Amino acid sequence: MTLNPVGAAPLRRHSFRAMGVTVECLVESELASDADFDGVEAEFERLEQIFSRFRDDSELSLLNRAGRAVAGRELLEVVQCALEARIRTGGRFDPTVHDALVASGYDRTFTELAPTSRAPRLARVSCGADVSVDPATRTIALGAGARLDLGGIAKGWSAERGCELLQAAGPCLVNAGGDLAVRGRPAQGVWPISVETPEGDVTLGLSDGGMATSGRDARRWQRNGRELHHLIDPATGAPAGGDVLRVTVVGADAVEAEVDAKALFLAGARAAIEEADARCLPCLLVTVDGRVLRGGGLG
Amino acid sequence: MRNHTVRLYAAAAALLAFFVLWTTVAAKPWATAKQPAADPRLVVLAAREHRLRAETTAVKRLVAHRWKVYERRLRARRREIAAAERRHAQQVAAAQLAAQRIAAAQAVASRTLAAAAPAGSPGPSPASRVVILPPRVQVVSLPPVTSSSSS
Repeated sequence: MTLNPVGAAPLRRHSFRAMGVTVECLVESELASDADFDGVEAEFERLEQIFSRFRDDSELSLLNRAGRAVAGRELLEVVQCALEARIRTGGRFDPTVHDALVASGYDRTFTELAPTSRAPRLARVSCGADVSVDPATRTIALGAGARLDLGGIAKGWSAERGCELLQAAGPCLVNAGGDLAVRGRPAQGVWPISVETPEGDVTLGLSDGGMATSGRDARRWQRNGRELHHLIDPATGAPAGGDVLRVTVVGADAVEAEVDAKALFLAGARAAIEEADARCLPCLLVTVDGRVLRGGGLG
Repeated sequence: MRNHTVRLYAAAAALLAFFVLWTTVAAKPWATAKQPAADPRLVVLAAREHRLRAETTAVKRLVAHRWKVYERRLRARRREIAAAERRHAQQVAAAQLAAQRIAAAQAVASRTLAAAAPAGSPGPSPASRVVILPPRVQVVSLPPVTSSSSS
């Protein structure tokens, strides 16, 4: 529990591991109970059982194996979000990067992944396969050989879901490993969130919506002496190059922020800032050579 | 004696043959058997039944055809509704994005106006006043409650 400004309700905090990251829940309320946090934890476990590509019996794994499945509400909604994001970002965000990730060596949970390994060079994997969703029959059909990875977008969606569960108790924030959603304003008006930059930490005050950070400074490994990371460029089917190290984006919700963060990361620093300014998309970008750029009206 | 007995048997056989012949002739086997006249009401009923059965078959065929057409149109309509719902969701998302852009643009505009206005000059007239929505995010100097980092 953290002390808040005078007269404000206490800030209750709860953390747990899920989806390969540490999930942090904050509620500014005296009404929040352990049962509320337990409910969020159970919900994350339930959602991981749906969205995880590392669990053989998850709903996503079953779909990836079968190529076609009648999906539950959550999987259907997240896949629809991902496909809409693919259209909106012109293919920079793409849920069909599963095989490209596996080909790059990210074929098991990150904690199980060897930091360095040697492996035969694999053929380049193409992304962008056809995926169709029929809401009437709740059927998802994958194109030939297509498999989905919903890692980032599922975390954002789950953070939003966590907030939905907590918001009855009071203003709340759920941070799923950098994908962050808030509901309601705390007593101090904004949720101060720290973002690391080479020039020192910058604190962004988020009043509503969501925030996400995508970067190549986390989830990195070496294969055949080459450094790889988990952000796949769908255009090449390989870990993205470019001059962006990390980008933090604020959006209407955590899902939108996650999608835009990946899209801006792939755009390259200059194009990313231009796009953020054009779309009034607040973003904080760190380049590989240590520059810190702000866009989208972020003062 | 023997001749008398023979004659007696012959007479009896002739008499029997006569009666058999009589009975046969009386039965008039050459005349055609006359059918009883059919009841005209039954004839009408049979014709009506036949007509109704034919009509029933036709109606069943028609209903089956119309049901197939209805189901086909229902499926098409459901697809249209699903597509409309998807379009609606996209429009809502676009509207939210537009609102966000407007808010940021208004914030920029207000900063520009404030910078351009000479000191002591009156503010913008009520008609030209820009309604400034609070930005979704800003840099603050508060102690952070959490951090956002690459994951």
